[in-house]
Amino acid sequence: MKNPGIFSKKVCGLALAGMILLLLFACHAMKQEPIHPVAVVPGAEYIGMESCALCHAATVKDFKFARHAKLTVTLPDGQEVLGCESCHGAGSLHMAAGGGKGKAIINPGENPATCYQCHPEVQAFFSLQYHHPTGEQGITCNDCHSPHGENIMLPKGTLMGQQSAPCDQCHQEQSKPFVFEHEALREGCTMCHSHHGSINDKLLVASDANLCLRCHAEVMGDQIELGGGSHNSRLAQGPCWSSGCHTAIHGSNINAHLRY
Amino acid sequence: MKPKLFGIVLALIGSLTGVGGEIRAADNSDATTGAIEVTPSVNGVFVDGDDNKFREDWWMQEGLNGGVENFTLRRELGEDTTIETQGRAIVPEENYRLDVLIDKRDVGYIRAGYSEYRKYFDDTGGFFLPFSESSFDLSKDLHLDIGKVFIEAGLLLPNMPKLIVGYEHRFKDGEKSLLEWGNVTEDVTRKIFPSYKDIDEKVDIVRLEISHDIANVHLGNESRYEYYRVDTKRHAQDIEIGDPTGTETVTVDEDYEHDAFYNTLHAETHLNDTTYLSLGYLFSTLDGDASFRMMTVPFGPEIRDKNWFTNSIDLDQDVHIVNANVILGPFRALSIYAGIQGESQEVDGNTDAILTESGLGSPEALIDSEKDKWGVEETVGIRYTGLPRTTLYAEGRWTQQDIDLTETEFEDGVLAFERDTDTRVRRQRYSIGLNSSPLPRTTVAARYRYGYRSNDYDHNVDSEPTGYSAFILDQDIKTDEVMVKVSFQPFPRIRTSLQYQLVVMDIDTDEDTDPPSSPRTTDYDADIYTASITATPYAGLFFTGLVSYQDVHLETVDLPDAPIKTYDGDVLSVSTAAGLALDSRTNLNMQYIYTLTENFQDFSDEGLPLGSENQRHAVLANLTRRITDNMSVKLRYGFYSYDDDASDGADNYTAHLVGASCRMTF
Repeated sequence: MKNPGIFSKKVCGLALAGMILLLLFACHAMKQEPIHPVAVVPGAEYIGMESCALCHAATVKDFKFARHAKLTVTLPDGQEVLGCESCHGAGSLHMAAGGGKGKAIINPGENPATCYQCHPEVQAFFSLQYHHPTGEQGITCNDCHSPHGENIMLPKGTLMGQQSAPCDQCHQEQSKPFVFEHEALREGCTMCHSHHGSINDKLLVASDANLCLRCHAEVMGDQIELGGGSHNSRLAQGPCWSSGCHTAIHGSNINAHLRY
Repeated sequence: MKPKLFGIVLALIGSLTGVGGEIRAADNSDATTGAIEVTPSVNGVFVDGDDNKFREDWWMQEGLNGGVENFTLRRELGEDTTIETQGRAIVPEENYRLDVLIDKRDVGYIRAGYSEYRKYFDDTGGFFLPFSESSFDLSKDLHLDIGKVFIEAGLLLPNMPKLIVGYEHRFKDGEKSLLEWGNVTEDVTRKIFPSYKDIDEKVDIVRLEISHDIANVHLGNESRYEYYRVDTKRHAQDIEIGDPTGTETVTVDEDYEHDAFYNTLHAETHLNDTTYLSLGYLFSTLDGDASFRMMTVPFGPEIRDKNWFTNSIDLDQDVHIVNANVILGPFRALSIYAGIQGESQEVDGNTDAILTESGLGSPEALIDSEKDKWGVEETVGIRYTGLPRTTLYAEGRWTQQDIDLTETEFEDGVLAFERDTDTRVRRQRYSIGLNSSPLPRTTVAARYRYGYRSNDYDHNVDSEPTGYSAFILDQDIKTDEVMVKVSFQPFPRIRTSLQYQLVVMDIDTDEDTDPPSSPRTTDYDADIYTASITATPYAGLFFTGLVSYQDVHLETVDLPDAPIKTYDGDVLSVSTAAGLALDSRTNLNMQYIYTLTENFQDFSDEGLPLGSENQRHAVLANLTRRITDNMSVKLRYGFYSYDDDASDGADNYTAHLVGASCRMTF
């Protein structure tokens, strides 16, 4: 099996070419008009949370309890910006325009790039082969997380108190009740799924039976025992959820062994 | 009304009512101002190799696609009344979105929308290189169309109760791949034959929210009625290489529907500047019906071939949750919060089925299950901001649950299976951390989390004493997580960050075996390193770069000739973007994404290797030229490549994207 290697010639060559290109661009760019990466509203100035509260009183009132409430962004001139504008960008033009959704203001709810600035590890998960479509199809961080509340997960309203509520919104087929439940679901979806992104299909934490053997296995001599019987020959054929085996992995209405 | 038709109607409403307003683009890269903004686009995608794998990876199919990439509009309809619309429509990707919001200040709003997107699936199953044919595909166009239609109206009169009424219809329709791969036999059997599932899922939701402030107390009630139904059909196939008569097909048809009602009553108040109280009560009830039909074709050659079907399946679930929360402070920069939540859940399930198996007859099975759960969860946390430029926080969360589960199955009146298990769950989670800026332009974040969950099973009745499903006696899950992140701005226009995360999980399981065995421990640990940089060295240039490396180790069984090996994997991902102003009217934006995965181990003699060993590259370049104040043109090029050694090249592809769009404002 060929080993591509993390620092293969192709990768190093591309990186070197990119850096040279960047240097050439940099020389040219010194003469040009400003462009902005993210969270910058051109021409706007920072106005402070108190000004935001004039129109967004309820949000600002609760936001002081939020984990994000102490967020600051250091500007190029060294000034520190606290609160709303650290994510939404400077608000003066938005306020002068009389407000309006997305009007002269950054809306992280429409674009996860703002969130990635402080959560780069999450961006890395989203760049893996299997991931929720935050970039491609308009699903954003806000669909699962509430950045303004005390608890940034969403077990509120009619989904209050339910651990897997953010997942249940779109995956009811898996979270609905079953006659025979798989007790692993009591631990939450993230026990088996890497929710932001994974190298494994269906966002699995592991691609093989190791996923199940974490909880279900006894070693008896040279045999892997599962539920009172050796499973060595079965595991040699494929993982536990393979066809003919325990395919009803989220629960079954007909078989206590979750076979179908 | 069909969702698509409804969406088109909404689009027409938006178009007819919106002309003449003023908008400002939220995206500042090539911002223009005007009344309406429309961005038509066209793209060509050319794939060499596995085009199904490409479209699963990058959410677009080979060929031409185009339409309106973005449409926005904002117009003043009168005094204090505005209409805002935003949308897109790309075909044949079935990628649509339209949002319409009509807002009248101090009166209320109406918001309606439609969105849909398509998710593609590769139709290839697994890979087993020693076979003369190492992989198979279904030659099927597997995709799901996922979307929703909604309308919501809010009455927001000053000093009056706030009232919101909404209706939402969500859907998933199509076919998706499964990992329930079927047998392929050639001397040995490995489960790699692809399988798939037809899905037709719909849910209708009606919501009513009422809230009002009385004195200093905010009272609210939210009700939701939900009608959910899903019809699925799973297809799996077993084959023998070189012997067409060895093919067996299993299909599983399942229908399910439920009516569910949820109601939440909550009250909250800021008693003063330092005391916040809230109370909540949720009641939900669900009444579900299902059916199941399994067919094996041909039926009979193998012992225990199954043709199962149900006469009825009933499911009921009732949930009650109450909680109370308090937040105190800040008192000299110290804030304390605490909460307690109680939960009661009852789930009943009944199935009446005919279980026909070749060689074993057709017994009628009557199955009953009942689960009662009671739980209490307490949370206490503190946050201290008294140190200069520093926030300290700590939180503890404790859960106690008792779960009683009974399951019985009678086959033709004879008890075939019985289980009565009481489970005692105790969970503790602690976290402690800080965010600090100890030096100018330097911030440090550090966090430690510890989790411990103990599941203690008391099997009062177990008709299969050493078998499924009541075979775990005790299980402890311990998790330690450490995260340290340092952000540094060496220069005002350059920001860097380094982050290290360690996750360690141990699962200790004691199982009911004959002869008794000692408890077993599973070890999982992951080291994750992330570095990022954002630089705007000059006004006309920005650069962002992100490198992340994960090293994952999962050991469940440690036997030399076992069909399962310890999972060791390296994952490297790189994501960079750069923007350059070529002149006052022209911008060049580039993006590069790279991932490398290495966790393949070849143990084909003992089992089925399922690790991956692949590299993905994507380079995207956009050249944007502002032609006039009201029009800009964007040309784009993309290059994608995927090189997968584990599939022996069956999944490999290279692809090119060429496209153009024109952003116009009127």
